[in-house]
Amino acid sequence: MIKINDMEIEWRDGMTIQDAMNEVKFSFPLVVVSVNDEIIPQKELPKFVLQDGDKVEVLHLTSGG
Amino acid sequence: MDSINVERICASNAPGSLPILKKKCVGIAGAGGLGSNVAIMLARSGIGKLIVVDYDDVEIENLNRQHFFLEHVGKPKVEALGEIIKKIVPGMNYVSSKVRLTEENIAGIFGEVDVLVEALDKAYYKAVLIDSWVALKNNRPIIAVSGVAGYGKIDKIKVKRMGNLTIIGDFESNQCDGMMAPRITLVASMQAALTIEYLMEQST
Repeated sequence: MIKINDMEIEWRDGMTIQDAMNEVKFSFPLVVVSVNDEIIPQKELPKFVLQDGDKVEVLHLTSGG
Repeated sequence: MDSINVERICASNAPGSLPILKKKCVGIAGAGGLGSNVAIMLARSGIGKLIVVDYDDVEIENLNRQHFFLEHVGKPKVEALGEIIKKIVPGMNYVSSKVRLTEENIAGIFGEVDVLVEALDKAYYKAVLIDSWVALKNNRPIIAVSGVAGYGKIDKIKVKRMGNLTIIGDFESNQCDGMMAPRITLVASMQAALTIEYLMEQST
């Protein structure tokens, strides 16, 4: 099981962060993502393979300041 | 006027804060709505050194939320901010740079700071700054913002923490909702307050 924000999804062998985000239909163009409280660089999102039990947090980055 | 020194200016600040804060250095990426207001608040708090980076000049449309005056229109923001800070806390060490931040220059510009404040406007550049800072693995705090546009809805503003990153905002509103002083300065105040908290914690 993977926890992504407040949702739980089934873990699959080889599942990447991008796969998990697609599964919960997160389509924000820019995000900050952490796995078990460690921030993962944007470029790594399609490559970073999740382990069963990982806790993923995704925050939407919007413009303005 | 009697002699001006930071000890007198900051005499009403939290007891014991000035001896710590005057030894600290804070980086501010962006001198717009968030950054100009954060810089003024940190100067009033007795921070020893600020490193502020921004590429833009002051425009008349900035005066609705950014800490500048009519006389600054046309001047580089970092220069105008330096003039204002000098009128409040003359002795503060203010270092500024009118450059565009890139993945390549972030470490060199902000390498020495104890806390980095993200005060940029475009989400893409926020992401670049956060990634570049985290890649340094120095474990020093970065305080960013996502979702500060529009008006009201202050109960939607949250503080989220991930490792050494703190992000403040509603994570929904976008530049196209309009940028207004009350929400921008509210979140700038939260960034400044957290900066001071983290700096004080570093010294305990």
